[in-house]
Amino acid sequence: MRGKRNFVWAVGCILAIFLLGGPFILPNFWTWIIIEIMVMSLAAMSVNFLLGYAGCLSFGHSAFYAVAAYTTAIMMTRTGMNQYQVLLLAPIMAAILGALIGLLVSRLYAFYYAIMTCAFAMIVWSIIRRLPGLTGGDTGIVGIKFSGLLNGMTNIYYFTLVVVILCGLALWIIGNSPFGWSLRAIRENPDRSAFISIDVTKQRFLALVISSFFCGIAGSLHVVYSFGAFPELAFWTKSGDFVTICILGGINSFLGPIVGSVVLIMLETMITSVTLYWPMVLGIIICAVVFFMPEGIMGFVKKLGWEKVNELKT
Amino acid sequence: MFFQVANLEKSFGGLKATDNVSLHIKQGDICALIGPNGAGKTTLFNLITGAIKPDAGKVIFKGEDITGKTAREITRKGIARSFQIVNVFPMLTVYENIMVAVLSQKRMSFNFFHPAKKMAREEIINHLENIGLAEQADMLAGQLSHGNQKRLEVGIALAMKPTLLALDEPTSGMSVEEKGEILDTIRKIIKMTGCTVLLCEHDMNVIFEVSDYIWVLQNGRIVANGTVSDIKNNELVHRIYLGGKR
Repeated sequence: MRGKRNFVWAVGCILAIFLLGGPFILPNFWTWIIIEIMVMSLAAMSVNFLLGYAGCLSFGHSAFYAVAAYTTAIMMTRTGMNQYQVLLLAPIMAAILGALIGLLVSRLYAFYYAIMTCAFAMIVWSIIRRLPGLTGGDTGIVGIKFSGLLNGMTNIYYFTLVVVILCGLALWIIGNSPFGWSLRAIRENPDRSAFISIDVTKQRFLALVISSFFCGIAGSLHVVYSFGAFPELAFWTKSGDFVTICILGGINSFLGPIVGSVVLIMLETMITSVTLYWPMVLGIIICAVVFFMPEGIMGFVKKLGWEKVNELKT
Repeated sequence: MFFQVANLEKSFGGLKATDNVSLHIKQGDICALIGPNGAGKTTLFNLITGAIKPDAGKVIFKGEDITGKTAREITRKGIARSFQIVNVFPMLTVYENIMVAVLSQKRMSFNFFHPAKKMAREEIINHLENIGLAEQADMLAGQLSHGNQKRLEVGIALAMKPTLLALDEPTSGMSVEEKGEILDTIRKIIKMTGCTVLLCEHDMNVIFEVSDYIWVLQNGRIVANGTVSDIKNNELVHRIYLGGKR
């Protein structure tokens, strides 16, 4: 037990040093990769807020991600709006879209929910492509310049780090509030939940709105580090990435999406540099993980006897 | 009248599961609903608690018409139920099962910021002690024995602080000793909370032991009603339910 605790402390300290000193310790290439991982973690955490707590599998989060990214890109290139206001407006737009979709899907369960949310993502994707005047069509919007705190790799890195940590904390607090527990009750047994006076549809609706808001923050951070917004962000495979990350990391753990995005993006980066057939290699690895660690990496860690992990359960 | 059902009807296809049922419950009574398999007991429970909507008739609770309201609204008004087939939150611990009910009862479901595990601890532990599951508080509900799951089932209903508690076969699938224990528990709780009870049960010994008033259901109709001694002496009830002549 003591050895384990020391090990966790050691790993934690090394991670903290890397995270805090990132741009000064790591080569530029890896700094950008870590920024990408952080943004992906936030998006995946927002997906897991629905999946892990409320039991709703959404394939529509690419829509929220893209709507926030495009809001950021359009407002930055076409209006003189303050960049911080833009970064606040973007997730609100995503949450409004989340509310609209939520009105229609909150009564649905299991694969009906997944398919409907996926359909809405595809609608958003096609709208983005059909409005070249506003969205730049297939080429998207590129060359977006931010200033001040959002200018330069080091600034972007620390800005992203702070925002992602704050959002993670917020999701943790909401997840462990009575609201979060009512979502778990719904996940476990929606029928019985109604008999303890939980408004099942309303809670699931609110969960989607909250989730889309945080996914929107990730979407606008995407623009900050990639300087552009592209239609692929809305394509359903982007949602597929988020869901894959959650499953890979473990949907029953709060840290699952973070671990998942670290593993997936690291693998992707390293395998891409070795072989052109990286999707195939990645596929095999994911199959192996799902087969041997059905509860994801965090589930596997728990099985190894790390009981403390239990306290992080969704 | 505390609780009243008037001319309630429900059909499933060609089957009249509830056929012109009228009954009433006095406040503070333990009222039993008996009848052979397929008599429509659970259907009547479902109609009363909002799980399904009646085709016709009225359900009146404390002078208010609650016919056709949703399960959530009816529970909020003070009618909580337990289920014949165990219906708990399997991957949550026993403590968490009671916690979600207690927090919902306190209308906390829209509190986004307070750590739930630190709220209403005493009340939750109190409930756990009352239903005799304090020692199993940290076990997953799905891993409890059947008997303990049935206890939890009743505990979740009680956490809603009902004024009318509807128990759908709380002892089904239990051994004789377990039945005795859970009945003692239920009686203790009823005495403590003073809630009115509508009990649906198969075991006649259980019924005769605990109830103040009995309604007999057959083929979706009320065929007899009365006190324990009335029912014990009722020829019709003997023929259809207690098996043959005395």
